[in-house]
Amino acid sequence: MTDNIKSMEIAAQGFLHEKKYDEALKLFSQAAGSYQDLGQHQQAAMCYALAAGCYESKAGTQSLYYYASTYYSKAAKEAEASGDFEYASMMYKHAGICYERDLEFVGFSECFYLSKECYRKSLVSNLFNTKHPSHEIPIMQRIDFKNVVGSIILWISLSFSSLIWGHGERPLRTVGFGCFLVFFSALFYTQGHFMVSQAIHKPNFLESLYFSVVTITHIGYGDFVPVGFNKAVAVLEEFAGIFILPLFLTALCRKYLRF
Amino acid sequence: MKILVNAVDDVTVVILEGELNVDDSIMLREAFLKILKDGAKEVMVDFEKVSFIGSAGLATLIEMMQLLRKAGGKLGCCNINNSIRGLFEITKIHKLISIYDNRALALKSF
Repeated sequence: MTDNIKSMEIAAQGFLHEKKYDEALKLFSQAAGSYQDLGQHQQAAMCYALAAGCYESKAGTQSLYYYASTYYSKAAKEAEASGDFEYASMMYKHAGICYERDLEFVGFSECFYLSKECYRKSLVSNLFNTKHPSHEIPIMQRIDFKNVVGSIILWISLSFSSLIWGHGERPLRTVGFGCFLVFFSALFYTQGHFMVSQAIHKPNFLESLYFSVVTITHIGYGDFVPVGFNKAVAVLEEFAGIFILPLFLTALCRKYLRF
Repeated sequence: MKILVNAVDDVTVVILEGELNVDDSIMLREAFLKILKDGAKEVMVDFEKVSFIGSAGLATLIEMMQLLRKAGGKLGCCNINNSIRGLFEITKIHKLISIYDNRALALKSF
């Protein structure tokens, strides 16, 4: 079986050098499928990437970027299956570029999102993946602590970006996060007090929810004035509101103005 | 495939000779792991005498690049012929691994 794949790869590379892209991509695609069956996902990823490259090379004269992006996506999935998230991220990125060239913006959006997610996963797997052969090497030799700190900071910011707005591709996440914040802040407000018509008032949940919405949207009618502990919660909610609304609008425009 | 390991100053030079197929990739991976265990951080692979590289070889190079980078090191390749360079470019490996025209230039850049 392995000899068969090997000869397929040799023949495919021969076709590639002769610029016979149709024959080359057929063989690379077959080799990738065979590697997939054998569970050798890294090799399958490489073969799919080579097949995608064949389509991309052909696409100079024809509209074949869509097919190239399909193969880049397959390569990314195989790389993900092998645990190589960094390469998967790069393959998704190229799939996204090819989709964009083909004016297929739904595919572009999805691949851009997946590329960022894979990159985020790669930061974690680089540090903690025990399946990786690096566990065979003593820890002090295999870890550079500057890299570790950098990776952790990057992972936190990417995770936050993923949660708040799905890296700019999931505007509904911003709505969800905003609603969660409104609801959560309202729960806090019920524990504190407001000043209403110069009198201290203990709010019920609906009043708190109303105040929370008025605060996050920066309307600020002034009918309820937070006091004590509620003041701190209101400041934090207002501060979050400064970012949530523009993020939602940016993500919405990014996603829907492409069509 | 023949694998020769030399040390030039702080750089470990891995000279490959022959074809880099599935079985050879396993050999190369073992050689790389030994180099890493010995504490090497900067590794340069000389492809001057390599006539063919399969997907397994490409996958091994990526894996080793990641291990070296994690250790704060660097992997570079030099003397790559046009057909192998083409494969590196198609699979986008050239964006992950530094590629140099010749060994002297590579050693200077490390």
